[in-house]
Amino acid sequence: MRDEGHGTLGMQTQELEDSFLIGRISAGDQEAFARFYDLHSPAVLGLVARVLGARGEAEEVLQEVFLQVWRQSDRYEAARSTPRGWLLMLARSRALDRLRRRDARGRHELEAATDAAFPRLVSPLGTRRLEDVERREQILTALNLLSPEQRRCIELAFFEGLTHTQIAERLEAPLGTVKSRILLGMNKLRQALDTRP
Amino acid sequence: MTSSAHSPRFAELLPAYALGALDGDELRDLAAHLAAGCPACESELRRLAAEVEDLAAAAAEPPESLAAAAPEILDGVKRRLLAELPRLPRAPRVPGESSPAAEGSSPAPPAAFPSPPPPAHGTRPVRAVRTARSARRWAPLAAAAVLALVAVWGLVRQAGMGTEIERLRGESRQLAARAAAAERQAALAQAESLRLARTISILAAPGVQSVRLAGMGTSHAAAGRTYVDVADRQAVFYASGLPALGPDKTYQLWYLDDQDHPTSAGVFEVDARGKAALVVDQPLPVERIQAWAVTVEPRGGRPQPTGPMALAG
Repeated sequence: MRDEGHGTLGMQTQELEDSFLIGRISAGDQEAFARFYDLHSPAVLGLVARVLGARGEAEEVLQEVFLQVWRQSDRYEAARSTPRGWLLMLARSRALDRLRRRDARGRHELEAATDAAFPRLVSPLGTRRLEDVERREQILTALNLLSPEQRRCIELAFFEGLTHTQIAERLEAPLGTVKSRILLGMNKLRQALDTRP
Repeated sequence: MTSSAHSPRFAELLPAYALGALDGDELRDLAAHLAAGCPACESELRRLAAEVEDLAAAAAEPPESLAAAAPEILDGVKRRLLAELPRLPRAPRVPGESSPAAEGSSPAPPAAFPSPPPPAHGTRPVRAVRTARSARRWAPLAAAAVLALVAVWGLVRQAGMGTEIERLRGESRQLAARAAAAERQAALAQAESLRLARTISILAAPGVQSVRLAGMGTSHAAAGRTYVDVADRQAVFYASGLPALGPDKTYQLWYLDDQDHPTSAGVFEVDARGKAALVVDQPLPVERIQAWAVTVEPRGGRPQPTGPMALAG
């Protein structure tokens, strides 16, 4: 019944400041917005850059995402997710929108081929706070439990917004195989993450 | 298969749905099933959404190709954003600020008042006469002329005076109403600031514990969270997605002790968007609390739960 994601004091502190900032942002406080940007823009840039590859577009989407935060911070629901979780899902969805609008799809695949994957477990560049680093390590460790095929399918869905059918075409694999890789991969991740403290 | 009955097949589609990877008939079937309402799938989907959020957090690191340029990009975008914010058509309303209705009914006050009557016209000729030494003997005549002018001006003005007085009365009533509204708002703001202070003291307490409540039954799309300040035995509760209730009903928050005995932690209403917040400042037996729940009760609440459960966790 205890909320697994909020067991440590470190998590609480971060979430608290974020919730406070979101409240101030919906009241039109630009200083709070600037602070929220400083705290989370590296993560947003990291995520959108992994989805989009190209620098110019990542920059534009970063700006779009935070403009949306400024305009729609009152849509954030404290009971549903943490402010950071809300922000990152907003970022992923804007980045995927941009990806789908691209004309030259082929060029993207070439550019992003090396980047569109979950990073290796190395010293973090974008996330500075200890609690973020610890959490990411947990998730990246959990991702390492997946088979390379399961991981690739989840990455194609997550970073490129591809559906079952599109992933099967891309990997030249049977549709049923792709479906079960995603199902098993997500379940395995769940098990690994649910045992977290 | 009907779209409303829960089945393992739907449960198997949920991970791909949460990732956005579902398409074709499967997507159509699952969407129809979810639209018909399935508490089991809803709650599984919430867990999966958290998992996808975790994936986003894991990916939130610039690829190596961009890492070196990241600080420059971040600074540049921040500068552009901060320059743009003041120009954005956004007027956030802060509790305690005047409502649009009050703003609309407040024309610039000086323009609304009538110009000051006679003296403005009358004193100037009088002063001119007094300062002109050679004209001293004409003073009584001049004064009489001025008085006559004033009288004529008064007659002309009198016609408009009745409406002017009515206008002033209306104005005064309006000002009194605005003063009363401002007082009410100040009292509300004070209560709100006390409530916020309590909330912050609970949320910021060391070792605060968070409990997630999941939607139940007809409120399956709702979610809640209780933060318990163990040291001070207080809690603050948030909910979203709760359906609005009729005027004779209210939501009531309960905690269950280790004997599963429910105790009321207060009643609350939801706002137009289904959100609610409640500070529980009665001393809580925190060691013995095993669960939290929200039920729908008759207005004013009940000593023991009688209605359907809306949230539990």
